[in-house]
Amino acid sequence: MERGIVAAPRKIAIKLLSAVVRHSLEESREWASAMLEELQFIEGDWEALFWALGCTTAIFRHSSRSFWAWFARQFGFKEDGMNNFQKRTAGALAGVGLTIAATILLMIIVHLSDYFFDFAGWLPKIIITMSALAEVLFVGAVIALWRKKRPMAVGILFTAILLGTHFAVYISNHHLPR
Amino acid sequence: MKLRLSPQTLVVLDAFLDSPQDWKYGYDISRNTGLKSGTLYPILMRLADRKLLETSWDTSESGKPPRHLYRLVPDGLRLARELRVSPATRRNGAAAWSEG
Repeated sequence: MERGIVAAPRKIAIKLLSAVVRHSLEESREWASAMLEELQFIEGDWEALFWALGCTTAIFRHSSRSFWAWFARQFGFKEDGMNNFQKRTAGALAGVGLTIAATILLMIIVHLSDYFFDFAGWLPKIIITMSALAEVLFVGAVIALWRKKRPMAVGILFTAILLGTHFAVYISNHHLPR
Repeated sequence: MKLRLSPQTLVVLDAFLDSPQDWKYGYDISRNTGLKSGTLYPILMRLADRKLLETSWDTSESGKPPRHLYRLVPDGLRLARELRVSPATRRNGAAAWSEG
């Protein structure tokens, strides 16, 4: 019985690190696998869980460093001083933040409208239409900002692609006939 | 390329100097240095990125899961030895080291 209680943290640790291995970037995957294998040599179950939590943050930091290095290469950030780099990063993050905020606002409006007007079976179609409209707006914003505020445009574009993919997968899994 | 030499990085480098030719496991380094995995692994990753540390997989014992191994390369050993005989650098903690 005691074993059942203490084994739970280890199970969580294994699941957590397995997920990290599956979802980590190529550059970090070997390290994530190393951490997962090392888990089997840790005797304490709680110690294993804390090990896994620490490893997860380490992989997240490593992956985000790799991502930003890739990002800088892709969008022409040169080694021309941290201030400039920081400004561009802030611009890109602002683009990401604005896109996410606009999407959340749109979803709140759709769901509130559903609450008040009861769209019934129309809700999936309205969500699809609003998502498409949002994507068009984001692309328009990217085009408008590309020349003068490129980092922000890149942030919007990146987030719009991610959110668009998310919506497409969600709609195909939940609302389309199989 | 700059490497941030935090006090924890110096502790890790020190740990490799005890038996420089031997491969070490991550968990053993963690126990010997008292560093948690969230601190230890970023240091190991940075050292490996800077080509100061080499890694390998231990698959020698059949029936046991493979295990990641770490060892300083000659450049890493040289850096570790330089810093070991330079306690002032260690006290400063955040000194920078340039490679090449």
